[in-house]
Amino acid sequence: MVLFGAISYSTDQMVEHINNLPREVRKNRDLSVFDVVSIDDLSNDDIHLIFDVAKKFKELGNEKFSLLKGMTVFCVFFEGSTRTRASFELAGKKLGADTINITSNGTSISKGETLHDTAQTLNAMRANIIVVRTEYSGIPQFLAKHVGAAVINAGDGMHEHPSQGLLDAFTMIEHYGDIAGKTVLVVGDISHSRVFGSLVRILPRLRASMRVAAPKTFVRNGFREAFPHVQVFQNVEEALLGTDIVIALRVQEERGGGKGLPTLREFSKTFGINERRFALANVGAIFMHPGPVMRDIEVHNALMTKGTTKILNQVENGLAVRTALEWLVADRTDKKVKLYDSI
Amino acid sequence: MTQFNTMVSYLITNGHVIDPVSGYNGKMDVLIENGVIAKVGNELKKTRAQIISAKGKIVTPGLFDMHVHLREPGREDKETLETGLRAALRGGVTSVLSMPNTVPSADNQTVIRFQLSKARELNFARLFAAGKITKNGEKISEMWELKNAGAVAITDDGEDVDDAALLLHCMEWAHTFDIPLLIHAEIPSLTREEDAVMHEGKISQLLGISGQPRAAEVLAIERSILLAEESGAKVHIAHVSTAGGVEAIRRARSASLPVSGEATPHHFALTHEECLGWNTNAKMYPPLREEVDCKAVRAGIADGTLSVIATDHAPHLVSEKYLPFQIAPVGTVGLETLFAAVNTYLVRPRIVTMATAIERLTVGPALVLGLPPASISEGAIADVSIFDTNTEWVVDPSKFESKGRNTAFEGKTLFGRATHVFVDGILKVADGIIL
Repeated sequence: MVLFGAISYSTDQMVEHINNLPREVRKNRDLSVFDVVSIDDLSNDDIHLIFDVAKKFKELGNEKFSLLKGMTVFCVFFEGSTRTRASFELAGKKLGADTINITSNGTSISKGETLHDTAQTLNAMRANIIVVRTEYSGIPQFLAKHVGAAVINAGDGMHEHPSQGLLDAFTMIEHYGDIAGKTVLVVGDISHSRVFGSLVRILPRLRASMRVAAPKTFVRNGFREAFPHVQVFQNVEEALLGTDIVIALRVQEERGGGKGLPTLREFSKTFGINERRFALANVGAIFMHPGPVMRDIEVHNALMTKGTTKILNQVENGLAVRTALEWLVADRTDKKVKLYDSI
Repeated sequence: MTQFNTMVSYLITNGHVIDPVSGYNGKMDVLIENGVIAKVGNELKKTRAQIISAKGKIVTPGLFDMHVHLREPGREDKETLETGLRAALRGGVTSVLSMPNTVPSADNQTVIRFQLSKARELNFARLFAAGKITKNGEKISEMWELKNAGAVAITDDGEDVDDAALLLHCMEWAHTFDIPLLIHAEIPSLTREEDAVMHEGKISQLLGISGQPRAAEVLAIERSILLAEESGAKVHIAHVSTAGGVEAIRRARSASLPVSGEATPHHFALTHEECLGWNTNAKMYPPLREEVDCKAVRAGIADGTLSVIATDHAPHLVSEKYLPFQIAPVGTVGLETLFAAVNTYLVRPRIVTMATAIERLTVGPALVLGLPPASISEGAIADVSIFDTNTEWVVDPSKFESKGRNTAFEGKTLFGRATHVFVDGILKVADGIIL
């Protein structure tokens, strides 16, 4: 008994020691928001807090924490996902939370359930965090207003994918130290991409300048009014000149992205990033892609294995950023309680 | 005739009478006797008449809303003839044209006869019925029979007739029996088939919602105008939402083609910004567009290019509007905000005079449908509305007579309300309350 007690005591101490490592970095700071549904809602301080904590989690590698012990993370994925869902789930487990996955193509919404009822149901299960992905833009925002849990948007329709935007920016900063004044080029299907939706909101906040290279097909009416800070190119080679970071996006055929293209072959020839094209970017430029990659369509196979390609760093950083997000939204040091409209 | 002897006479005193037909526009008294306007003049005297003071108010012919979805038969959960026609009265609207996209749809005489006879029994606002242009978008409807059953127009409202050849044949058949066509101008391959559920522009970009270009409407309007020219049919373009659409109709009318156009309050007053926050009450077809379009629609109303103002009253269940923006049903209710929206967004900013506004709400629709317009002149049937133009109110759909709570004007401050409404000389609304 004594021996058991002694071991248990020292284990607790060890666990507390590990838990304190990210706490030391966090310094009792809290996010200004209860939910992470759009980059627009985050302050610059929020973004830096997320990055500081994520950096620490990345450093600590495989450590397991009990920061969210006794809490529940619902990963509600109304749309297919591999990396994002696994990443959020793993983040929850690393923090010591219980994670539950609800995955279904074809939501209860499409069965006729109203959003209110979906929200009420999740709320009744007393989740601490609801990570939600849906084909419908605006659903995480709606959920956030109607549940007590912290809502993290894991992608809503063609609107935003904030954790991806954050991890992409984190990856850029990790490489360059600071991306103020750097030029980021996004190539491909920007009109159907929620990753683009978050990048276009976060990059100006970090004072990076932004370009897109895409056929007119993907630069829809209102684009320039909505995102006046973005320089638009229809020629990918011109766009690459002077670029520090190149991000290619997959053609989202499931959202109708292929409709405006003659063939993927022609898209690949005109907008795909190959080594010759990539060489037009600044010396030391990096290549990124949110995945899944269609090799030899938006990016040439040979480029995938180059050291300048940061796709796997993005995946690794995704875990760190999502661990930071889950911890920050669910464990507030200011003990403020989220108010929500239960109707 | 015997029933007339028991009817109460009303003397409306000191109101500002605006009657586009007779041209009255000034302070006058109106005597209503035996269901008709008995006298219009200054300082009328009448013993044994109920006096209604209209001091500081306007007295107009009852409004005619020629674009209303009443949902009966089939979707009585959304609206019934009773709730819809009560909502009309509450808004000072004495005549309503019902759209035929009911369940079953009014592509047959049975539905038309049912609607008309039920509305007569209900005896609230007057009902006129529209039949369908096509059967399921595939064949010409039996227009002659629809007309005989009492339909005054045909429309496939809610969608366009996609097949141009079919539309031309429909126009030819309608021309043969002198039936006006009301066109919902939209090229579906540019809209629904692309899941494009709002206007394509800054706001659709910000919301991550597929947008539809203006061309989807303009192209459809131009197509209908060309086919009207080919066929000679009377073609009315419903709910024009684009500057290009207004311009196309203006050109057609100056070329003396038998084409008319209609504006809704939401298209002249509201822009796509209302969709921010994925507000499903601002989701409609055609979609809310940009200020330049609203301005063009207002100019079209002012110069008569758009001779009709109508609501496209489209009630839906609250629960349906809680669906995601992409799949929520389209439309806004409008009957109870029609006059106030016209007053607030057109008359008070001096874009049109009250007389012009009333003309677009009375004479305009009657002329399109080939009906005698309501008038406040001696001998005319006494469909009369009295409005207080200064009442300021905030739109609260929970107070509507309509079952539909989905209004794009929710929370907006509007000016003007119907206080009294007569249909056939019978007082139906007094002090804003339905009797």
